[in-house]
Amino acid sequence: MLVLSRKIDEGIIIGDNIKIRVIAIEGNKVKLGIIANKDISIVREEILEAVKNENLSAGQIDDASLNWSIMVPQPEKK
Amino acid sequence: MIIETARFGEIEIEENNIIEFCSGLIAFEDLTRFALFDISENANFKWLQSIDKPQVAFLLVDPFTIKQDYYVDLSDELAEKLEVLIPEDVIVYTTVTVPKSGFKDATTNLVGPILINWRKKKAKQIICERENNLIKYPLLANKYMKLSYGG
Repeated sequence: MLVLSRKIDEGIIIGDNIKIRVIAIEGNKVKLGIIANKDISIVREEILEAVKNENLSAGQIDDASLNWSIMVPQPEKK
Repeated sequence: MIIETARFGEIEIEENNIIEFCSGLIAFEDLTRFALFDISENANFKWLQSIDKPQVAFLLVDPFTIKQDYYVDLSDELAEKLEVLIPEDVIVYTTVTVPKSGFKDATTNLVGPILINWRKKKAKQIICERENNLIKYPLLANKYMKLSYGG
C-alpha cells in the first residue's frame, strides 16, 4: 500500500481525473473532498463490505419454508 | 435454452429473457447473466437465478411495498449504462435475506437495490446510502406483507 502524508488543504491526484483533498481534521476524523467524474462510484468501504456480506447470505437461501413455485416467463409477443 | 438451477432443477428459458448485469452483483462480479422468474404464490416477490452458477439465486422483493417512502436516484450515468430511455423502463428490487430462524425473520437490503431495465434486459446493483435505509430491513414489519405471505 502506498502511504502518503498530507496536511489540511493538501491533496492527491489519482490517474487523470480523480482529486482527493483533505478538508478538515477533527480528532480521529478526517474530512475528505473528492472530485471525480460522475461515472466513478464513490462509497464508504464498510458500506460496500456490508452489502457484499448481505449479498453472500441472500444468495444462499436454504429455508425449506420457501417452497414457492416459479413461473417461467413467456416470450414477449411481438 | 435450458438452464440448471439448484432449487428448481432444469428450466427452459427464452434467451431474450436473460438479464445482463453490468459488473455483476456485488460479491458475485463474475456472474453476469441471470434470469428473473415470477413466483406464482406471491406477486410481490421474484426469483433471480444465475445462469452460470446453479447454486446462486436470490429472492427479490419490490421494496416500495415494504417501505412506502423508499426511493432510488437514477443518475444520468446509470441511465446511460442501463440504456434507460424513460424512467418507466426501470424496475427496482431488493434482495431478501432469510436467516436460519426462518422467513418470519426475513430482511431486505434497502442499501443495495437492483435496478433492471426490463426493456433492454440490463441490470445493476447500486449502493443507495441514506438515512433510514437499512441493510437488514425487516420484511414483515409491514402489515400488508404479513397478509400476503401465504407460504
